[in-house]
Amino acid sequence: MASVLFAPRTGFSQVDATAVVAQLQNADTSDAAVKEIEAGDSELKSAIADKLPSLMSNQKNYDVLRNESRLAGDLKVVACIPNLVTFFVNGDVIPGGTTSTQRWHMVDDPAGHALVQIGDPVIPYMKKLLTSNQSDDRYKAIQVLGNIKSAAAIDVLKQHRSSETDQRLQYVLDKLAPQS
Amino acid sequence: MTSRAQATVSPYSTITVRSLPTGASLTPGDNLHFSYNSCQSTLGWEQCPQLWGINVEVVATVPDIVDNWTVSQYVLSNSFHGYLKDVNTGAMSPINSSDPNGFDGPYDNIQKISGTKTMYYLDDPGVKNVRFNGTQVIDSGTYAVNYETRLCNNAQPSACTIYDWYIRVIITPGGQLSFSQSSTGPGSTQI
Repeated sequence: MASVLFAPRTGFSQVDATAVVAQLQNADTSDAAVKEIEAGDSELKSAIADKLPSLMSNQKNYDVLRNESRLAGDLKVVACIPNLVTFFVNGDVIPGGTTSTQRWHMVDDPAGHALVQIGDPVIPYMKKLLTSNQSDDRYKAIQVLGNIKSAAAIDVLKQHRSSETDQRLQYVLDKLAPQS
Repeated sequence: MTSRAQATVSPYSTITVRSLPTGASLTPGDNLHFSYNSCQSTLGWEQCPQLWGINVEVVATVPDIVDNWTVSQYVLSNSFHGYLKDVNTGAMSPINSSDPNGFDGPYDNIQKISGTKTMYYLDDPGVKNVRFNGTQVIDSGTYAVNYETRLCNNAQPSACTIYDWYIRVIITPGGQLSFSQSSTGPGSTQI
């Protein structure tokens, strides 16, 4: 079972959950399914959370994958972290324009935003991403950790500062996690 | 293009939005840096590996000390209309998008030194020049944003100096920033 924070089940209809999953996976009905799930009870949410990791693994439609990412974040599905990291690192954000604040907070990047929502459980994945030889990857890790802002996340940023070689990233790190 | 009327709590409380000419330096004393996605340290239009946009510096000057004031930015409206191109097939598809309006920082990228009269923040709004949906890139489009910058006295939060400004980023077919057609200034642009 996916790790998710909800009350115990009280008898939700499996048939209903299956129908909502089918809606979620259809690009034409996916948006409506997200609203239904978010307005649904804890049993529906728990049932969807159980299915999300495998749904994301097999999903090829980007609009649907973004919706599944949003749900993974809203429902804090820890088991979805590997899928979210893959989607996030590939950089498939929503096409269009942004201000720098919107980019930093990843309002255009459902996978990155979901990782922030899940919080500290993503830290080991971001620590690994900080070892990438690609500065774009390291920036993404810094972005997630800097938005999580927990003591553990800030500590990772402080530890990383001494090994960071990109001056632009050093500047971001100094802003986010000043050395004491 | 006319600027919206400013509600000034003091004739010495001012907001200046600097961006042009392209290549101009930040104000001396402003030690900030543009975001990671920006590729220039100077003001103005830029065509970067990950962004077509504009580097903007906002300068807020107060009559006493900055400790008594708060500067904030709001997106009043924003939209992108354009075309995506599939890099494998060449097929074009229309795209219309907008991000949420409302409070837009500044968060960390602000310089507010206690006891001084001037504070600065930077923004680099623009169109993301990255791969979308696995195989698509932006081929052309227009990104239009209307902003409001507010400089408010902490003791009288409803009394603010307000400055409205806009940017309009034009990407021409083939994914080129149009330096001549793109525009920015006081007032607003049609979304």
